[in-house]
Amino acid sequence: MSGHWLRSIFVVLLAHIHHTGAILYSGVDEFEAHTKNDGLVVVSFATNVAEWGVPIVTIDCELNAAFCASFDVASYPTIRTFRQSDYARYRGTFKSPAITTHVLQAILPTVTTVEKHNLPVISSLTIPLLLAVLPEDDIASAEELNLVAELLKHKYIVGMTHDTSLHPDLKPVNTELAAAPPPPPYLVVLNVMDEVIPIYSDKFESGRLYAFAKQYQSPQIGRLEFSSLPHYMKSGIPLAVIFAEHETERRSLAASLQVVAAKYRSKVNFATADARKLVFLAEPMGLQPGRFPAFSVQTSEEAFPFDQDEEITGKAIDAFISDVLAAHSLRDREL
Amino acid sequence: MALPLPWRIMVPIVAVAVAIGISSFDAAFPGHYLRQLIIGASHPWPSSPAFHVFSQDPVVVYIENLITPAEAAHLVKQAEGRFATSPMWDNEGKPHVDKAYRRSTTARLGTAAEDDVVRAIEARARALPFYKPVGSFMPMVVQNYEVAGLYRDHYDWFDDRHAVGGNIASTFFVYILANCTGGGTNFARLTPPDSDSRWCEWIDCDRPLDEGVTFKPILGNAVYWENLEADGRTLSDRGHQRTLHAGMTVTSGNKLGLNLWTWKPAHD
Repeated sequence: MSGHWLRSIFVVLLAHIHHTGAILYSGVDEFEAHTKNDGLVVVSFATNVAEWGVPIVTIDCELNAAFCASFDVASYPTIRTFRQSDYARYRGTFKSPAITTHVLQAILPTVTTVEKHNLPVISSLTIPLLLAVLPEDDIASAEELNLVAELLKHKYIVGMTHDTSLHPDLKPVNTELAAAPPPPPYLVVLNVMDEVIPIYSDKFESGRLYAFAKQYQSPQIGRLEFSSLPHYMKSGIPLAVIFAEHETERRSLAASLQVVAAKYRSKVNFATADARKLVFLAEPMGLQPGRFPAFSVQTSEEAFPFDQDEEITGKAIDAFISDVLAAHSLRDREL
Repeated sequence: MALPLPWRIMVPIVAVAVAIGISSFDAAFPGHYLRQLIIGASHPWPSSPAFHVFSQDPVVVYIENLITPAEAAHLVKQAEGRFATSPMWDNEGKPHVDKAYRRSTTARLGTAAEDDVVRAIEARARALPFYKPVGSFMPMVVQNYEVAGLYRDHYDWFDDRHAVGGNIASTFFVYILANCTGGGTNFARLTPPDSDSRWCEWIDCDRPLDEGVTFKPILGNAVYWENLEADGRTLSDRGHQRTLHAGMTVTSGNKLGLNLWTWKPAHD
């Protein structure tokens, strides 16, 4: 298998990893730290793709200036992926998951066989993994999956496994899934940006599988961060936020609200927020700081805080959101 | 081969246009071609110059061969021994030093009256058809970037033109030494071209797409841009937000850039 990859693609990193020149500037530590960090990114990325036998060559352009110039390399770090004599430029960020995603997208087959040892890498890429858990001899389901995989090429890594013991390794840990997994065949979406794992265990038919995959391309319960805030503000629908101080708490609350989030999917966005980092958002959302976990819904005009004395449960939040939407639409009509 | 009459007339015009780079020059500046030809005759171009309009708003143009290698070498020599740590300028026009933000040295060159090469370059710059003569050139300066040298995101325009008596209307940044890797001129708010664009000759197409546009430092070439928002055929007094730019870190070698700034005095 790896012999094939060897012939078909290799990655060259045209980098300037170690700088040895005498530098007389002040404040150069930062520059050196930067190049050192580039080196760490390369090592992490190389470890990630080692399993697939992608040859990685790093070239110090300081020592091979003419060679680098012949490839039109004007700055570092630069990544090129080669397939025979053809090469492609890499225009993503210089971070290990992004580079790994770029390379794996180029070499993985339409449906990748997922096992315990490769799961950690392909479930933590910058695009989500659509993973099908199939019974050993279920050829019909495998064919349905193949049809869908073709259509989802650039949106997902599509994987297939027969190993039903993978559950404990699925991250984020889904207690429900771990406790009582549905009988195969079924589908899950593993997305590093999602606090929960969407599951599909209905009829294994390509049209339905495709609809499921399209629906969960973006996180079911995402994370509220500075980078994702504009996305939520622009979406034009209310945002429900789960505030909690610890990751495990955010995850377990998100899991308990997964069904509610699915129910209001196109009407309300759901996200978790780190109550320590984003504490300044709690007050504008009508919450008393220092009393977490807490829950609030922000519409374009106002905030609807969930009673901080009440417990956050799926049932209570379902009723609460239903009330908020009623109040919200009533206001719209008055306007 | 006998061409029909209109074609026979067109051929020399097209040939000249191609020679001075109009082939890649957007039709946004009609009427300037002739002016270019006339002025070009009295200030001959060094060698097959060409300009490529990258953006109309703000106006950003990449110029190939604005100066010759010999002229570049002359300027490098003139700058020698004059370098001092580059300051940053606040909105009142006061300097201060912050080496994490700007790490380079600056040398001021002689005036057009003192140096023939300076005079020739100013005349050539002024003759460019897209150039808006809204003021006179400031004394030329050379910026010296060695390994780890950089100038993070900044504008060339001042917020309050009254505090400093005017504003920097446009900038030519000419690469007079480019024995380096890194050191590109980045515009974070411009949209980069695709990886297979012809622009990749002058733009570093290996940089991440979310980093904007990075022009390559190539000896004799220059980037020209207007710092102020356009106002019809002239320039307003408002700074253009999308001219935010940076000198990227030099990762090896040495880059020297010549700054030619147009100073627009405040009249009101």
